[in-house]
Amino acid sequence: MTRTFDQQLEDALPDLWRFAFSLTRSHDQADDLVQDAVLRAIRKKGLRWPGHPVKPWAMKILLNCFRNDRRRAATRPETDPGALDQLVSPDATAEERLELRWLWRRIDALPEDQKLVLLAVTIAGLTYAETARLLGVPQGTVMSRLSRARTRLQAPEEQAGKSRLRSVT
Amino acid sequence: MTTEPNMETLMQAAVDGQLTPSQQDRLDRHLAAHPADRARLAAMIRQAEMMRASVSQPDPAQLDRLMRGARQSTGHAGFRRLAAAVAIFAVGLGSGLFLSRDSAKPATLMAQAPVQAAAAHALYSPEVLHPVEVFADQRDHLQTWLSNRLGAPVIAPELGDTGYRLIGGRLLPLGHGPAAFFLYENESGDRLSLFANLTTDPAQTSFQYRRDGDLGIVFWQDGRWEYSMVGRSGRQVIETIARKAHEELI
Repeated sequence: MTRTFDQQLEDALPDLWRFAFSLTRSHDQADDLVQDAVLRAIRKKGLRWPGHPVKPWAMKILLNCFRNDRRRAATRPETDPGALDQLVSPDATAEERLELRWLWRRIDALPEDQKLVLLAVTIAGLTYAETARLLGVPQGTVMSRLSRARTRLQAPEEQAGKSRLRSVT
Repeated sequence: MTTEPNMETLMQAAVDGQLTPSQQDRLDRHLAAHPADRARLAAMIRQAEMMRASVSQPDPAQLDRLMRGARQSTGHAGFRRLAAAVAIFAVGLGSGLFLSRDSAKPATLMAQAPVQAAAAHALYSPEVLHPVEVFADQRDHLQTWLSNRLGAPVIAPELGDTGYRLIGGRLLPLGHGPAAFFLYENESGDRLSLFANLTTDPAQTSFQYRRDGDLGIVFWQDGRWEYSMVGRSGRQVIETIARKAHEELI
């Protein structure tokens, strides 16, 4: 039995929130983004592809909301490095915390197109085909960006911390 | 499309659990012979798991609050308006006249837009030399210009894998206001246009279809924006492309 629109939207909520958090790195901004996206999704229900799954479509709305917000803000809001610490399980060792902070710093330093693919696949849990549609690029491009992103994250200490602060022009 | 994915793609798919059983077999055989790739895959899997684990599950109660908040804002007013908009369009279709049910308001822009859109398509789509004022090679300029004239950001959506490419656009009148007109073409030379205008009366509608001679028109409204997509294809085709376009517009 296929699930209704409302059920599918509710099922997608945790992943929507996680994707929003990975984009904004802030609890409050993730809440706002999810609420905004859900509001639009409900309003635009009738404009959806009938029979297509709700989750990738809602992700696209969320990403568009995020891009609009960021365009409106003159500069890219500084992500809160402390927010990640709140998410690391309390029993994580100091070493694990350090490694995690390094990892996210490197993710932030990735080129935007690679970072988005990585987050859409890893955090939002979209398939490659859904990610391709989310970003409006062919699936082959998704694969090559993903591969480049992961290769970069593996590369040892490559100019780490250098692009910590980036502005969007 | 039918070519086998390369080994790098299979490695990524292994990290994301998106391998088919036969791909898994191929990858296993490769990894057995390539210890360096085996190590790299293990490292990538570990990193992906770290990423996933660090972005924890949100609090269900909080998600519930967000959902309720969003539902309340969509409320009943929006629903009535949607119903009214559909009714107006239906009346227009039935009578051939675009009269609102409320006789105090003679004609609504809502029903004017698709008529104007069809007229614009009929007039400009056969043009060979001057179908548009600004061609797609100056897309940014086109969008900025139209946005300025309409007083809100206008984008010319990409129609992606539908095969239709933007030729360009022009500024057109609708009643006393401005409207944006974008013309698209596919490889066989079929043309399709998107007509976008702003209203003062925000509403949400689903896709509505009507025919005008040999033209098919799909009309929809999203907030203050009204869109009409016009072409010679059948309803299914135009509506499919309209959905695609709308995905770019949301």
